[in-house]
Order: sequence, then structure tokens, then C-alpha cells
Amino acid sequence: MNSKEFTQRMTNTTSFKKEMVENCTRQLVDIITAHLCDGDSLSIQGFGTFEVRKKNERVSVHPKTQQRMLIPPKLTLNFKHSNTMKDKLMKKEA
Amino acid sequence: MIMNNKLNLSDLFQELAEKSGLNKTSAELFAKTFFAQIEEGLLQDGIVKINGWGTFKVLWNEARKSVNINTGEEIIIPGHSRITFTPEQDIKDRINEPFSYLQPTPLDAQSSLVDEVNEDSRDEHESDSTSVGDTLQKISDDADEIKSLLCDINGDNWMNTGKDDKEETASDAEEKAKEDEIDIDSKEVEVKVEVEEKEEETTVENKDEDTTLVTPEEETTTLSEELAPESSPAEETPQLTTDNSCDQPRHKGWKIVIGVAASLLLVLAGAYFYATYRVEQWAKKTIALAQDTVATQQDTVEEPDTTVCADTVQVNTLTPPTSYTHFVDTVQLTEGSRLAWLAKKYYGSAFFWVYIYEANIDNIPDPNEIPVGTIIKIPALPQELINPLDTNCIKLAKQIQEKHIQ
Repeated sequence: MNSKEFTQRMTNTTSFKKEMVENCTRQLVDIITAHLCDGDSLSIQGFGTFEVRKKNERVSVHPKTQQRMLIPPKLTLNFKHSNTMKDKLMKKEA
Repeated sequence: MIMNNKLNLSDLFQELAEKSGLNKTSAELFAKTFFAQIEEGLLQDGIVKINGWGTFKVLWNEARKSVNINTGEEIIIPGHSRITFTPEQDIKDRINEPFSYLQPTPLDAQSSLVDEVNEDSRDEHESDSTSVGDTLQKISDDADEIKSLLCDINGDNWMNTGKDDKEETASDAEEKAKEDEIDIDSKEVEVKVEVEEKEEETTVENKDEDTTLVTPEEETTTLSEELAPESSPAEETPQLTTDNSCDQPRHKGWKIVIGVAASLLLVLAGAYFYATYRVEQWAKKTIALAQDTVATQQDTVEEPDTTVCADTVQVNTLTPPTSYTHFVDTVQLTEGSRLAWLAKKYYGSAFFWVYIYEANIDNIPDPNEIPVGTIIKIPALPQELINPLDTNCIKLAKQIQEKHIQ
């Protein structure tokens, strides 16, 4: 499902206008990202948890040139699905 | 990463309602549908892409063998699906903003470096702070060395570096003087006796005492105040301004005198006014003596005022030595050694190198370039001349220095 389809579905289920949905999506994403930047974590019940984790710096070696590079530490956004979500996925597999 | 808050969906739609202007129920509806739709899409297609945010994907983890960590038994973890979320580059950059300035750097192929790096990552803050401290220390050390080199090479630099200090002390002295004047004013000292070592002036003063005239006294005070700063350092005569209590009618005149004296003091005698503690005490003694003598001269004098302000005493005791006869040490100049360093070593301040130079002036054609191996005699100097805390000493040294540089 791409973004277009997603917006279409949202308009159908919420009966909002398309522009409204796009606008709200943008704002929601903005709010979530802002909170994550502040170091907050966001857990959506029945869906999963978003949180920011720090990846430590590490040394990587270029396989061809054998050049060692120090990769600096970075912050990444992590998503972990919830258990209910896992069960649903399992059910689908079955 | 410090976790500040755990947010949930209700926090989210409340904020959304505030931001988008939707009412709360529609915001709640929207937020709930938002995640429900993602979930539905994932279950249906296995992938949901949202522009401006990222992509959710369902991935299949194959079954794999593992070991039960408690029993050591081999177990098989069954295959399962998991959901991944890949944010768009924008969002990634925003999240990583605190570390965005860091760039991957190539390393030398040395295993020791790798170890160091690993250690760094373990206790990042500690190692950072210590290394920064070390480098800072090193930099300041270097700076000191360079400074001393520069100063030595070019005597003018001493002037530049010393200027600020000088100004500060001058302003300090001014303030001090002001306070002193106010002090006297508030105490409303009634009579003033001027005692000077010059006999002429003392007789004039005595006359004033007898006639109780205001104007002549004013004149003499202004005179003496003008005299004070202009007197050369060679003149070792301190000029004393002491107070004795006597009769009332002089009160107003005294205030005028104070006003005139204050302005003159501030303008002319600012720098000279800086009296060291030692000098103060010495001056107090002299005042006491002077008061005694005055008391014996005049029968009408009452008890001497014990709250005499010693700060209003002006002393010019510094005289540059004209000849150097006594020496404390003899040094052979080694490579990298300098007069300023010797001065710092023997006298406590590099400013006093001029005295060493003067003592050895016959052997030193150019103080900036003294050949290695030159025998330098370190002259013995009176302690009050080389007091590194006394601005007068440093000032005098600078004057001499200027003379030599010209």
C-alpha cells in the first residue's frame, strides 16, 4: 500500500477531505518526530513503540581497500511492534 | 539516550487537536484510524508507505537454531514475521541532529587505535573531559612560554601587558582615595595640622594654627597637594596630612579644603596614592610621632585624634639605584636564558630585569641579544624596590626600561 492508497483509505474511513487528511498526516508526523527528537518514546497500544536509540561509534573496514573508518555515533528511530500485533501477524501466517 | 517521557496515543491526539484546529473527537478519530489503517495495510499488503514519514514493512524471520541459555539444550526458534519501520531521510536527519556534525573518519591500520576507540565508546565522557583538560593545559603552557619569549625579545610587550594592570590599580587607588575623603568628611574632623619635614612649611603650618585663619590654610593645603605628586622619587620625604581636633569655627573652611584636596588628589595623585600595607603602618607611626611633637609645641591642643586616616599619606620612597656594588649571585648565561627569566628567578618579577641590565651594562651591548656565556652579575637590591606586588616598583622599572629602549 503506497501513500496514495493510504490517503484514500483514510478519507473513506474518517470522511475527512483528502487535503484535510494530508494536512493532518503531516502534522501528526511532525508531532511524533518532534517528541522523538526530545527523547520521548511513543507507544501506540495494539500497534507498537517508537523510540530513539543511540548507536555507538564503531570501526568499519572497507572490504576491498581494507581502509578502516571510524563511524561516528548516531541516533536512530526504532520501531518495535507490540505483542498484539505479533499475534495478528502470526494468525495471518497460519 | 535519556528517556524523558512515555507518550501514548491520547497525548498524541490532544496535541494534534491543538495544532490542527480540529476538535478533540475528530483528532482522536483521525489518530486512531491512522494507526488502524497502517495495521490493516500491513496485514493486507505487507507494506505501507507514508510520504513524509517512512515505510512500514512486514519481514519474515526464518526459523533458526539456538541454545537454551539455562539448560544448554538445543532449541529451534520458529520462523516469525516482524514489522520494520524505515523513516525517510528527512526524519532520520532530524532524529540524528545532535550528532549530525560527526563525519566518518579514516583510521590508520593499527589495532591499538581500534582498542582506544573501543575504550572511548565505553566511557566517552570521562575520556573526553580528561583529554580536553590535557590539551588545554598544554596550550596554556605553550602560551606562557611564547609570551615570555615575546616579552623578552621586545621590551615594548611588557608595556602592553602591564598597561591593563596599571590602569586597574590606578582606578582602584582613585576609588580608595574617594572613600577616604568621604570618611574624613563624615567624621567632620575639625582641625587639620600639616606636618612636613621641610622646616619652612612646618613653621607656616604652626602660624596657621595660631591665627586660626581659613584661607591661608587652604592655600597651603593646595600647595602641598600639588607638591606631592610632582616630587621626584628621589625625594624620600613623606608628606603627611594629619588631623587634630581643636575648635569649631574652622569646620566649614575644612570642608572646602577637603573638596579642593579631593579633586586635586584624584587628578594628580591617583597613581601615587596606592599605599601598601607596610607603608601605611610605617606612616601611622610617623603620624603618631608628629602628633606628639605638635602636642608639645602647642599647649592648647587636646587629645590627638586616634582615627587619623593613614591613607591620605603620600610616600615616595623609591629611588633607582645609581650604582651596583653588592651582588647576590653571578650567573653564566646559557642558551635560552634571558635577563627577564633571571629577574623572575631572583626578584620575583620579570619587570625588574632592567636592574640586572644596568648592573651589567658594560658587558651587554644589546639587551635583546646577549651572547651565550656572558657572565651576568645579579645585583642585591633593596626589598622595597623589587616588591612585585607594588605598582610603584613596577612603574619605576618600566620607566627605566623605557629609558634604555630609547
